[in-house]
Amino acid sequence: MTTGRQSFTRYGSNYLLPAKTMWRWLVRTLVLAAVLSVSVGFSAEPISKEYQLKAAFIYNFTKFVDWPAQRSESKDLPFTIGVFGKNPFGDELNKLAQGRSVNGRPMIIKTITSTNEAASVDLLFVSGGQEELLGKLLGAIQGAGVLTIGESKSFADHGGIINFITEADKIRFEINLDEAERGGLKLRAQLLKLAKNVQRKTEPAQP
Amino acid sequence: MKKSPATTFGAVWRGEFSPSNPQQQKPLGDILRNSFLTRLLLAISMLYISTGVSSASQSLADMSLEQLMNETVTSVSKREQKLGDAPAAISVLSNEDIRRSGVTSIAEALRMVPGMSVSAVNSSQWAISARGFNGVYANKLLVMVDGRAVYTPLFAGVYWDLQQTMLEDVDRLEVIRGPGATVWGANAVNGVINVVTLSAKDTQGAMIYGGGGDVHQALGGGRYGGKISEDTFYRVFGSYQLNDDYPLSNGQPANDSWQGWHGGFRLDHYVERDTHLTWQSDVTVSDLDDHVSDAYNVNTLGRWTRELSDRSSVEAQAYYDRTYRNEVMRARSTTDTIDLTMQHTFGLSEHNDLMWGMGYRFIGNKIEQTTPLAAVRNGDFDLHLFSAFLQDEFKIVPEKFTVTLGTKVEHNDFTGFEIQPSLRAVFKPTERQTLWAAVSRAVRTPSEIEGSDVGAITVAAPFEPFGPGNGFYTPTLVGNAEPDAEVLWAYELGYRLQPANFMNVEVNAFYNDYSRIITYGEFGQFIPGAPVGTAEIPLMNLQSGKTYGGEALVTVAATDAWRLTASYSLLVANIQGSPLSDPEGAERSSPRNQVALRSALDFTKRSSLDVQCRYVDSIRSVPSYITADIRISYRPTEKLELSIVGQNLLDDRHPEHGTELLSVIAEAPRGIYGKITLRF
Repeated sequence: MTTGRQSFTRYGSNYLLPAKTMWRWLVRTLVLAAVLSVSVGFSAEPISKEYQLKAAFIYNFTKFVDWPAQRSESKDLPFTIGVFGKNPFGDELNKLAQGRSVNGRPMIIKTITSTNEAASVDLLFVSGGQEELLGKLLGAIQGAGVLTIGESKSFADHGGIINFITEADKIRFEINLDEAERGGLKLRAQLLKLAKNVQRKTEPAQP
Repeated sequence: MKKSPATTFGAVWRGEFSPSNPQQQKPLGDILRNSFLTRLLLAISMLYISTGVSSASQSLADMSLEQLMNETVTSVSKREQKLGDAPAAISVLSNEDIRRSGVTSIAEALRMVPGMSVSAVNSSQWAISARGFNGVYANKLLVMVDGRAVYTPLFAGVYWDLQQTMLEDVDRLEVIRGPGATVWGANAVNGVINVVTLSAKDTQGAMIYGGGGDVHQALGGGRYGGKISEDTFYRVFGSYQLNDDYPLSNGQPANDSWQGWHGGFRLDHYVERDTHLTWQSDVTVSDLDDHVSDAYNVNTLGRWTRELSDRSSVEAQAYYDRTYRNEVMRARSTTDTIDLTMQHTFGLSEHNDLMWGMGYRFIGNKIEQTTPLAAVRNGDFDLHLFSAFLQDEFKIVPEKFTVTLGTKVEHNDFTGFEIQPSLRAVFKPTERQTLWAAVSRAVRTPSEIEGSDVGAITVAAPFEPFGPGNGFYTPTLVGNAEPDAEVLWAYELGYRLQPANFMNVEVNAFYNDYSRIITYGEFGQFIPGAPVGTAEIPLMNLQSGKTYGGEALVTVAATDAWRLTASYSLLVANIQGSPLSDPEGAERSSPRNQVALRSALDFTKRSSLDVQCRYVDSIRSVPSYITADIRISYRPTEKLELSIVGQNLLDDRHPEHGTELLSVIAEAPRGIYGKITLRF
């Protein structure tokens, strides 16, 4: 058992769902019943609140970022979010993408497995556990105008742009502004203001 | 055994959860702590709030960044194990299970766990063991509260009256039946119990409760939790209980009434997402046996954990514990324990997770005589315990087939080095099925009474022996024979199945092969004296034996407001030893058959009815019994709960335990108490 000494388990899977007897359904409204059955149907792999939140953060970030002209002008091309590493979101990003757009571009979600593919997306999320590959991956797409978002300690140091940090169970993020500017991405002040930490090695040139 | 979702579920239907309502932080946190169902519930609740959008993340996505930053992530650590995957017979009682059962102590709560044998010996004493060998001095169970071992090294058992952890603060009670020796160390022979309290972060705000009845005459307590900074949380807590005499078999009071006080604090500090520091201290006082005996415990514990990556973490813990006990029928003892441990887990390769750790424990003893029946010979001594363990979890087929191999090496002052290896395998043929098997060797090192010349306990009236000399001799247990450690080879199998979303089935089987069990059985020295001499009966490795049996558990969520649990436990023991060592008594120390039924029903959204019924087979001289507990609760508002609990309802009183050395044996009476809980 690979577990801490204080606690052998968290018993996540010892769950039960109540039997959905007919009378119960009839008591409830049909709409809610349908919603519930859908929820039960697809949630074999439940998505943690953490990643529901991170998905929401990712979508929100796009509202405060201006992509370089060559990326944002192609309004007919979809806005592509890539996920590199183990996808912790399950279906969350896809569901979120439905009916939403970024700068008028419909969103699509892609799973990225190679560094070549990584440069083609507009936003790349690198899930935790990919620390060893970070240098190579981020190095390959440096300056390509990809908004990179990660959740690893060394993400910003390796040239990642936005990195999630969890503090006292709340999600915070840090920004590597130098790296964003290198890729021609403009991060708005509202976003920088909320970041826990903005890394800016080079002071902006004074006019 | 999972938190019943019924009440929270009801609230969700009524749309009472709102992530923006600070008063709902606690239930929301509770919900999030549990994985699948509760996340589903959260998803549904969010849906419900966001009226018609079809995903939780979509409602989250519509929040502003500022709002998102106020949302908490209470997620299960990736390395913490799911019950369904654990290669051991594990049960968990959640805070909700404990609250709904109406029990007033950890000891009593353990009645709910299949495979446990729990008998009330008198008002303050319990005999608790897993898979056999039960008794007041049951010595094959490791009990821990937040990682602090609470069994006394004196006889390797637990003073249950001193375990007064406020049940409202208990996050969960984890119970492993079977050896947990590789990681947990000596004494984890037949089982490990771990009481895990909530982080101070999860007990913010104030809570007070009070109540009383005929057996549990008064109970009251409270806690307050606050924040020192954004990342530092604290709680202070205190509780009191007063318990009436239990009746003797003749109906007269046993003069065993007692009262207990418990209080302390806990501080939790989080640094970034990966580091957690805890400092907790508490004091417990027991005034026992109608003010004749008393005991206290003070302890302080610090723990530092750090997640280095998804697969890697380090933990260090240190605690100091002092247990004082002054009993007219036994002895006066002061035990000081200092314990230091660390452990490290990391990924050795893609499919290998290695965990290793080390520990040192110092135990200082001072034992004084209070009764000539338990003479103290050498009560002033120190012990040192060194241990190290190494365990490798090898995922042969990821998510399907995992093998864990490990061993613990321990050095103690009585028997030197002890090795406790185990091999465990888990096979998950489908998402809803788990099959596991384990072979382990566990040892129980001699307790102080057994391993050293601490004392001489009179076990019977003086007699005139046939053999040496003339005159009378008192048969007296002594521990100067320096026995070896007891050895268990345990073979276990388990199967878990979720045949439908509303049903869980679990079956565990074990075959335990014990050797060198420490007991008395042969006369040693006859020491003449006037007017009576001493006939020493040294505690030695004189028994061996085999036990087998298992547990079966079925849980059904009949509706979303009604949950039923049924369990059956079987234990067959076959012990060999000299007639004087009473192998038959050891065989019959725990019930052969036990059946338990539990029903948890929310009959309206504000009221609930919980019923537990149990059949316990006969042990030694004690006949079998059937009894039941009922709890009715009503919540007029979210902040106030009123409850009435009836315990042992099916008879006026019944015995649960037979004769024990230096213990008053009383019977468990019917009892009723009421309780009011207020949260604000």
